[in-house]
Amino acid sequence: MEELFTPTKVLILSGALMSIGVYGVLARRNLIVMLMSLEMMLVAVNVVLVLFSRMHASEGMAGHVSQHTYEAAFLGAHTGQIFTLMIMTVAAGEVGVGLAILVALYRSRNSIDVDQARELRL
Amino acid sequence: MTDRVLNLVIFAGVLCVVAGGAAAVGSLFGPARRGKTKESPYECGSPILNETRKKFDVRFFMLAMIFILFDIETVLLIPYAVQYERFGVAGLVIAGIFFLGLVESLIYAWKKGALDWK
Amino acid sequence: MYPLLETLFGFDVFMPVVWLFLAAVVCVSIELGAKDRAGAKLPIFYAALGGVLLAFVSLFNTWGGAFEPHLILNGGVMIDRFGLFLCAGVLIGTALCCFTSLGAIDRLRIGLGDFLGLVLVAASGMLLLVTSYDLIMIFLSVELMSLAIYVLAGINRSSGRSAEAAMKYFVMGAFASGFLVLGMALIYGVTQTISLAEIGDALAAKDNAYRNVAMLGIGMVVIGFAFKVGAVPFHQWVPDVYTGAPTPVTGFMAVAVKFAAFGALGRFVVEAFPDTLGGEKFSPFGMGMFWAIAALSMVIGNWLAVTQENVKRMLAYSSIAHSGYLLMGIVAMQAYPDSLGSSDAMSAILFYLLVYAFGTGGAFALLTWTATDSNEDGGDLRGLAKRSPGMALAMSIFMLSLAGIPLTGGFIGKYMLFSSAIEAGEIWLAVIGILASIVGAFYYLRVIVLMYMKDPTPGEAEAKNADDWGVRFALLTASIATVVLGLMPNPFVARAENASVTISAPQQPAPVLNAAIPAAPSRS
Repeated sequence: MEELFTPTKVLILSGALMSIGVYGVLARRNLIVMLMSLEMMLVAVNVVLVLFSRMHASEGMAGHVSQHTYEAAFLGAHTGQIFTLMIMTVAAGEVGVGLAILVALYRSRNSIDVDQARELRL
Repeated sequence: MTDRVLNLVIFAGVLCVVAGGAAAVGSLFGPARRGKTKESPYECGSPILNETRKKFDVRFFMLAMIFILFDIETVLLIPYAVQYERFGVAGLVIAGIFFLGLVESLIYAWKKGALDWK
Repeated sequence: MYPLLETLFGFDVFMPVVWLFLAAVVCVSIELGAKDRAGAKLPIFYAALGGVLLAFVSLFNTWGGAFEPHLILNGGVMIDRFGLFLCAGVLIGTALCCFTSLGAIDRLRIGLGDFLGLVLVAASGMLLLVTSYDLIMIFLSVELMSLAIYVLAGINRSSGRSAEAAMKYFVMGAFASGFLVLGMALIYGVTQTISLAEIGDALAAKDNAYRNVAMLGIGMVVIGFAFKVGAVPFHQWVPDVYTGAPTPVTGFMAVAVKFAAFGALGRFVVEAFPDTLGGEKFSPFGMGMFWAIAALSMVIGNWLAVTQENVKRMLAYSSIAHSGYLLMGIVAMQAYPDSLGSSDAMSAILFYLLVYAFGTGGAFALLTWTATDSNEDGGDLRGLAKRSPGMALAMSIFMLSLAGIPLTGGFIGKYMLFSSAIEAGEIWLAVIGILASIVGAFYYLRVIVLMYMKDPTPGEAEAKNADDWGVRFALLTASIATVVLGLMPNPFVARAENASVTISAPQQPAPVLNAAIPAAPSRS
């Protein structure tokens, strides 16, 4: 049977996630929603990386006979998954900083609507 | 298109038709009487105590921040844990330094009172 | 190089980063343990400065030793003179920030330990950024730098403007890093590697249908960096964030972030851009993009700076313009047909960054000094020459240097940049740049006129600042350095050239030095 998740479908999924994220950041004015959209952009990248990592693994490791070259191909192909872990931790740090800034902003002007934050001229 | 995907599509289509149809029939043929009681979340039950859209206390945000950071940063240990034999004592030292950073920040949050609920 | 650590850890460690991290931990610990905030200030300051000095010493140790460029940490970090030069620049910015924040910290209502801890963490991210050699390291160090600086921008919790600046910087920065990392993912997907040199080789050699995807990825990475350096059209955050952030932080952002981001961008362009694309020379695509960004930054940055009344905001726009000049250097670097010429352009960039660091860092230090509780921006320079002639002289030196007047470092830097652009054949870009910098000279000179020709605003109290020796020291050092760079630039130019030869020359694959860890074998 044909595979359920072909690369094209996964790329479309990731593109959709990315577009939702970009739209959310650009169009929404609520800082919490913008924060969520930023996270969604990073999630889209994670999906792409896992896909690429898997593709490289399946195409790169097939031809290797000896243990050493197999291991090399294995490590190279799984770089994408390590990258994903790093992005996840960075995303967590970003959420932490974003929430902290949000709290500071709310305390100073009682609103998290970005349009009301225009003390500095644009 | 495979059978499984086709099934999913049919399922999703039926879902949309049934749910959308029910809502459409209701709004088309049902009488529209609006009032304060009608719009309350529980029409028959105990009276509403307070607003549903309450503002969250800022302490929830503080705890969420701290939880997320300490929860997720340990993910960085996974690549090390998978391959720890390759790195030997040096890897242990590096992981220890990483943990030192986490512990230091926990002490910081504690001392600054971010963990107190009062 | 560090026998003790090598035996302890079993592999080479990039020591400056370790020193900065340890200093940050010590700063925060002193702050936590201290009974009163005022008493802890000096120990914290010395701890931070000690960390920066130790980092400097180990940098010079590495620079002085006869060494070949080599990769450490499994190919993640490249130790070469290019990176070391930029590290030195970042450390200069950090030291200036330490000195200027010593007095200004009282206005921010936060402990010096928290502040300098964040500054040192950001600086260690920058050191990693300018030396990183694979995509994961670049991403991690960009984020380490940025996250710390988002917090620093909003560190004044009593000021709504500070929180607003942090919010704007955070949203725009996180948006840009989303694109940066998406670009990296695409590059990895096509080339199957994250090492910069292997990316360039893979793109030059491969003849496949997916190369355009990788080009798209490279474009996204470049846009991410263009955001970090504040180049037009990714500059909207710059004036607001520079104005809203506390002035010592603004100085740090203007100097150190620019060093780090331009270093990483330069390395990325040199290493990851393929020389040829299936036989054709690669440059048209890359040059078109960089050409437009550079020209727009120079024109729009200078043009908008002229209209500003607030000096802090004017300096923000001028930093956009300086990003444009530096990007012109990158265009020149790509336009040269031979690697010798492109190393000339690269050394011009490095020298200009150094000059810019002292000029802008000094100017923001002066704004820190003139700031009062009522006027956080320190914009009231009217008649400064009558109130304190020494300060006015220092500010004049910075302004003349930023304007590119002879006898200051700025002139030499601009001369090197423009001549390398002209030699590379980018005449029109150089003409645009020269015209734009003539406009730029106007607003820099206006500050000098303001200081020397106008009468002071009555009631400007600054007795409070008079004993702020940290800022005084920073100003003295920066102004002396600016003059020295203008009068005898040769040793510095020589070092910049030495630094850029290592990166621009066609090189053999650098050896990976790791004693204990078996290097992850590359896939090629």
